[in-house]
Amino acid sequence: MILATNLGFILLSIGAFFTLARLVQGPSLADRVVATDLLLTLLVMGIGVLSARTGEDTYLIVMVIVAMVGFFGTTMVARFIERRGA
Amino acid sequence: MIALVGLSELPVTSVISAVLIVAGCLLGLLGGIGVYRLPDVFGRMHAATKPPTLGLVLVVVGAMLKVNGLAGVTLLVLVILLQFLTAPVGAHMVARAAYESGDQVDEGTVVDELEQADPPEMFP
Amino acid sequence: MITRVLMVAWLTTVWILLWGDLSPGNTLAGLALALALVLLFPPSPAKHGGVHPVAVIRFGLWFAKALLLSNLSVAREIIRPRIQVEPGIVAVPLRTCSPLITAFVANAITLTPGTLTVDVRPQAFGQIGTDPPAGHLQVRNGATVPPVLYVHCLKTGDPDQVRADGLELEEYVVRAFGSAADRKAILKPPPVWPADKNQAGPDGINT
Repeated sequence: MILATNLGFILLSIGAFFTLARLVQGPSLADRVVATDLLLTLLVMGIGVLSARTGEDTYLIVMVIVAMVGFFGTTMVARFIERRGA
Repeated sequence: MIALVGLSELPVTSVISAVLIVAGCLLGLLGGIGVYRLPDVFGRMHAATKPPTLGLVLVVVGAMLKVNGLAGVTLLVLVILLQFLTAPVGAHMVARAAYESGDQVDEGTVVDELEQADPPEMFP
Repeated sequence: MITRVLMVAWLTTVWILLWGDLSPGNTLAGLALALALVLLFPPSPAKHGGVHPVAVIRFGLWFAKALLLSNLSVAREIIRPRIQVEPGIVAVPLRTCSPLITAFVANAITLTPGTLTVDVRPQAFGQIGTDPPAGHLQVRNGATVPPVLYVHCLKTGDPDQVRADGLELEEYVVRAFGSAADRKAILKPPPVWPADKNQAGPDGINT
């Protein structure tokens, strides 16, 4: 179990690294907001893996909040792009 | 939930949970790689919402098997519900905003929207 | 009225799921809060259709299978050393007019990998009706014309195949959640695209 969660963390970190590359490089604002949303989803997965490793449930409420914040942020930036362009 | 029944420490539960978690994290990694490699905004949106959503479901089900207490299980069910309800809506809104603000589709083969009349104004 | 009852039930369920505590005190607190919220901010009455449990289960199973298989195909696409995607936006004209079904179909299309709903527009026929009943519908010749979904696909292939898949999805959704008018509407033959501007049938629907 410890081995599996270590492997899970490593995979998530590599995915987050590629997403960060796109966040820096993306030519438009839409690329960057998509990368941010993916980073938040990877964070939620990371909290899930941590909860599976230790068996505690103290951090699960953070999952709910991060998922909601990700959704609200993406929607707000989408409306901004639609009104202002780029 | 499994912990309530007292089966959380069985090796079988750990193995199933480990497999689910690694599979879910693999899908998350694929989402990250896809966001980096695909050529245009819409493709990156495909990669950033679909494999990570399924990966999140797998990781959450894996965590559900190992977490103690009923509060953990219900919170994880809530996270799955939230993700399924919000991820497609967010992706669609960003896709529409990106199209309206001029991100062209990369060598799009069939683009059916250029010669349509404007939609009625939905924002003041 | 029933919309309010359903909303109170949904809010109480979310409260119980958040706290993870099924004791009477917690449930009563959630119920009180849900009632206060619904009385302060009443939801607009939604026209929902009948829910058929067997059809819902069939839709759920089909959707789960589509989700798994298409995720594998998108994963294979991402890993390929040289990416061969042919992106394209395809117009999928629907057959039903209800906004609930349209929202459900658009969300389901976005969740199955390979397709992403970009926009929903009324069928233009070259001009917009003077008084559209809703943002995505249009009245022509006295009848409401169903909207058109614009779907972005990663590997387009044949656009007609994409339209057929979209209409199959709509049929699954309507059989699970649609009202009586919707279930009558999906028995029509699939609409042709591109819409011929002069050729709308007597009831305004493009067949």
